Amino acid sequence: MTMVTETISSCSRPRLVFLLVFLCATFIPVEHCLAQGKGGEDMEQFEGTCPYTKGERELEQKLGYERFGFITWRKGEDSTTIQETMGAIPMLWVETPHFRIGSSLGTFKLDNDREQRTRLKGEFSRLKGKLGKLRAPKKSLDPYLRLHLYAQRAEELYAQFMEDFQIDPEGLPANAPHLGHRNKFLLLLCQRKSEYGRYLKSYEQIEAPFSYRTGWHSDGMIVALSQESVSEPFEDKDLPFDVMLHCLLANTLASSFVDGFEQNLFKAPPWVTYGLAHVYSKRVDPHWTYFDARRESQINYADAWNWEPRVRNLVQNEFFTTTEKMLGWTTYADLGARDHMIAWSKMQYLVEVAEGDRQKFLSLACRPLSSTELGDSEPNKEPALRQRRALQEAFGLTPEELDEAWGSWVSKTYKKR
Amino acid sequence: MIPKVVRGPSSKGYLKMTWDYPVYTPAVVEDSTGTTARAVRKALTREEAVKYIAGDDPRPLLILRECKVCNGTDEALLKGGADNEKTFLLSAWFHCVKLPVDVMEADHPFHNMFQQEQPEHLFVCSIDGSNHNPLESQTSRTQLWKSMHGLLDAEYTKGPKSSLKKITGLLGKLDEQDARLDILLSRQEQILEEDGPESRKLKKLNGKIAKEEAALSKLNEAVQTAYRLQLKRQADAKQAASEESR
Repeated sequence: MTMVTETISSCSRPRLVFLLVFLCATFIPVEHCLAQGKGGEDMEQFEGTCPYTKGERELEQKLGYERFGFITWRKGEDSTTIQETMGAIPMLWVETPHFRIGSSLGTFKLDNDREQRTRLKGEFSRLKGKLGKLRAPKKSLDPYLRLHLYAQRAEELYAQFMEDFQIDPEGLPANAPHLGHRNKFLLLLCQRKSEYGRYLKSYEQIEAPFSYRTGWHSDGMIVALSQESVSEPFEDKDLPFDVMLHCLLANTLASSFVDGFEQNLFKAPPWVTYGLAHVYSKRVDPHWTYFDARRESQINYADAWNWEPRVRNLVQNEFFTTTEKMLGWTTYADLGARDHMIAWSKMQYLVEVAEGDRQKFLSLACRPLSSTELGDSEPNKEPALRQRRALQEAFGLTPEELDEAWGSWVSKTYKKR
Repeated sequence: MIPKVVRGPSSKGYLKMTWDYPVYTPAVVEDSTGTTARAVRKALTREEAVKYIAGDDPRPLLILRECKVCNGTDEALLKGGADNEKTFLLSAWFHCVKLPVDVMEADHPFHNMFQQEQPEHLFVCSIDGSNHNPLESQTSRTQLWKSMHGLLDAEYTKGPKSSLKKITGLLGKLDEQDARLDILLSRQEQILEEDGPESRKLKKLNGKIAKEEAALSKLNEAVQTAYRLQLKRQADAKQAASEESR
């Protein structure tokens, strides 16, 4: 204490302030930090009964739930064993027509973001339509409501995919009704990185810091996400993180629908997978594409999220990756920043504008050619050959014709910066 | 008012804690009929638990247990900001492990990691479980740093003090470099999008970018070098091996 007094008496004012701040920062007891901090993830306890369905089976059925509370997972695991492996944390489980969902998402405090509130209003209204009554919360989304919202969001994304690709559910094989898989899509929504990390380590023997998706032959696919990974890179803790997680959900589910379609298991062309992923994410909210959401610096560029004028410029300068070149992409790493925008725009054109047989396109573009179909061609030419055939047979377009038609649509439709 | 330190992406890469989330998987028992059964969960001895958690990572352990009731040390450790950068930087010399809330249950495999009457939320220890130093929730940042420094001094051939000073200085330089590069890259992106790849403005700009990227990469190398400290155990093992081969 003597030393501090002496230092104070010999210091100029700014240095004094600095010293005091330094001392406060250094000697704040941890408990005090706890009261002020925002950085960690609280271990919130969930209510025993859902306040929206109140345990009534009829209401659960109206929400389309086949099971609510206890569900089976995969390979002899169920919600109880999974929950134990993930650290015996509070979790909610539900099985919808196309998904098995586990969620440890906690209460989310709503801010005054007008767009977020408008979007939620629509989502509440659709939930209300099923439940009969729903008092829309004004301040926060509790864990049960978040589960209902994410179940609804996942099913809506699935329905969107079926509609975009004109897929008739009756036309899917009886033993593989889930876009060609026997089992439903697994969706794991984690509040913290810790339970997410434990799941991946135990069941997938992998560490994936941001999000994870994979699939298994004659089985199904999984998407695992964590809210903490989405919000962690941002210093501004008042950003609409629930919207960002929703965008990430749209992105990862769309990629999985494509990569899993008819059990192609990641044989789908990357431009189709990631292009569609951006289309779906931008339909939720154009500001938070998966590609941007991880880079805080992007926030500083006010219009970096607005891809339309940027793609328009690239088309006008003829500085874009041609479809012919895109047919040669084999992994995510093949796409540069501008390529993501181009893939998004071309997929937007194919699923929203171009006339043709979209299901056929998806099916042909994702299924590797047999040796008979390949004929004398070199095996490494197979992916490009199949995509060229898919474009031709489904849309009647060569890669060059696609670029021309798409370019002309971009110039007419996208606004200037 | 003291201006807030805003770190760039390069610095942020160093200012984060990388956690490991170990899960004990008991061997699956197969009986004579070929049916498999899940082994009954039981606590490992402390020695077994430490060994399992440490795995192949030779760094000393920093262990945190999650808690349903409070979020004590966890919160303080994870709280970002300029006043906690030291914790994040020091953590890189540790194998940081987060254990789940149910570790307090008597049959949890890692239960015996916590043998105090009032189990701590956070502790540091060597990979053989020695030098156990519990940190109670009343711990201040300075006490936390003292404990971290104490174990690092014991475990590494050279303490982290001078490296830490070097790295802290380099973070500021990385921020400046990131900012410079960010401006140039944004400009490049703008020119490419608006004027196309044939723009005459690009040649000079590309040269500048290459120069700044090289400078950034040099700074990152300097950080990596400063982080490179040798563990006493590794040094001893090397010496023993060379003596054996003689």
